[in-house]
Amino acid sequence: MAPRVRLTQSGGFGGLEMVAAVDLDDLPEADAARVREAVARLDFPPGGAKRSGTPGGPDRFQYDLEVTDGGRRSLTAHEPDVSPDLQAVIDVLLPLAKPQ
Amino acid sequence: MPVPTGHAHRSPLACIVPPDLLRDIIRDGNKEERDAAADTIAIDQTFRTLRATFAATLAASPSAMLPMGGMGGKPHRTIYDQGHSSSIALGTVARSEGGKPVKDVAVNEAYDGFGATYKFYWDTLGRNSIDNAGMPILGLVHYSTDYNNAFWDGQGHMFFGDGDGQLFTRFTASYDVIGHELTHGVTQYEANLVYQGQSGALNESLSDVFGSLVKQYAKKQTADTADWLIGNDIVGPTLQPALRSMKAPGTANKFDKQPADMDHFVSTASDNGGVHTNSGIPNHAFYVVATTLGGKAWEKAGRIWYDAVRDPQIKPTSGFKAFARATVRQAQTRYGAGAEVDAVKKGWDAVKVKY
Repeated sequence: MAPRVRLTQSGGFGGLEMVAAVDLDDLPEADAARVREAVARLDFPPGGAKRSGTPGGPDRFQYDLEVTDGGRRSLTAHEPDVSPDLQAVIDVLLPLAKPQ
Repeated sequence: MPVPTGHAHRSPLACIVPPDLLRDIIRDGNKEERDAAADTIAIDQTFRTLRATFAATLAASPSAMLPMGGMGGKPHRTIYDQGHSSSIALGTVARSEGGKPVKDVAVNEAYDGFGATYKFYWDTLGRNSIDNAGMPILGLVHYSTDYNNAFWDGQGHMFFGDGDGQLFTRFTASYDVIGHELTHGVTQYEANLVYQGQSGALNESLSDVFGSLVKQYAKKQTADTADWLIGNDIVGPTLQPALRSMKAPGTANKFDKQPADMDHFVSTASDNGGVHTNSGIPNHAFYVVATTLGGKAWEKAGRIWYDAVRDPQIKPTSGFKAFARATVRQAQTRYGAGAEVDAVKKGWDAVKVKY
């Protein structure tokens, strides 16, 4: 089964919740490869627990990423603490996200 | 898209700095040193003590508090063009204080919006800029590409995206947005409310309240003629007609999930615990207070809210109840028992926050 990736962007001045949930198989091959490689390098907290972290700055975006491929892994990040690998995932998936 | 890196060359400053030294840095230091001193103040929970010490030591020469000289009353604005870069390093200076309008509408909107916000705070509350000590106002426009956001970075800079044209348009096109962002700076220098959960929603609400008042003051609106909408000038087709409604939270657009009272408080892990959602509760309380009192909302309701932000009993972790109590206490102190205190209580009753 192809990995399923779900990206949620929340916060920002608008406070909108934007969600993109895709099977990597459904993405163009170059995008799928980019996401697959970035996800492989990402540092997910152990046990699938969400990283609480410190709150983000006023009106900054929060990102929640969940990857399902046999097991389930997830992480939470707040701008400006977004790693280059998470940014790569955001660059591919955010344009597909819809407001909830 | 490159990941933003921190501002270069930020001078580290110890957290325990004698007030006289901080004062000297703010007065005499270069920009980086002033920023670092400001950061130190912002992160230091003993800021209130420092501020009181400053006031006492400077009573004889208040102008020493003002980095740009003078007694206040004039903003010190600089607008930078980020040229759609995602770097947070300062871009090209596009317009500085006293400069003529330029061709770029976003630059002029930011300049004018900051001017309106400074004027609001100075004229109605006697506040001299973000830190009440004449802090320069720095706006960074055209940040990133199709960027659907505006934010205060906690270090003296306000960033504005151009929007993607679908969800949002230019974030500079609205006094309530510019007033909202600058107020995040004011809140940081006053109550310094933690941006999570109820204290975060209160922080958000204060930015909406004073952002709305900036717009009402500039347009000479009363509580009855104001639209009490946030972001109606910057929403694209998807989010029409507005982003938030202080009059009727949850009704501004088809995605608006703001509650109007504590019975509908939203528990969520998103958005630092729903800070832009639950802000609807104190937003609506302010609306009820302002419309109950009638007239110009900044004269009494705004003054009471501002006094409450500066109330020594408001801590970084304070929530709705602590703030409600502070507004009742400050209304009592300023106006005595009567219509003002009654209106404040009516506002919090309407949203089911105890005080």
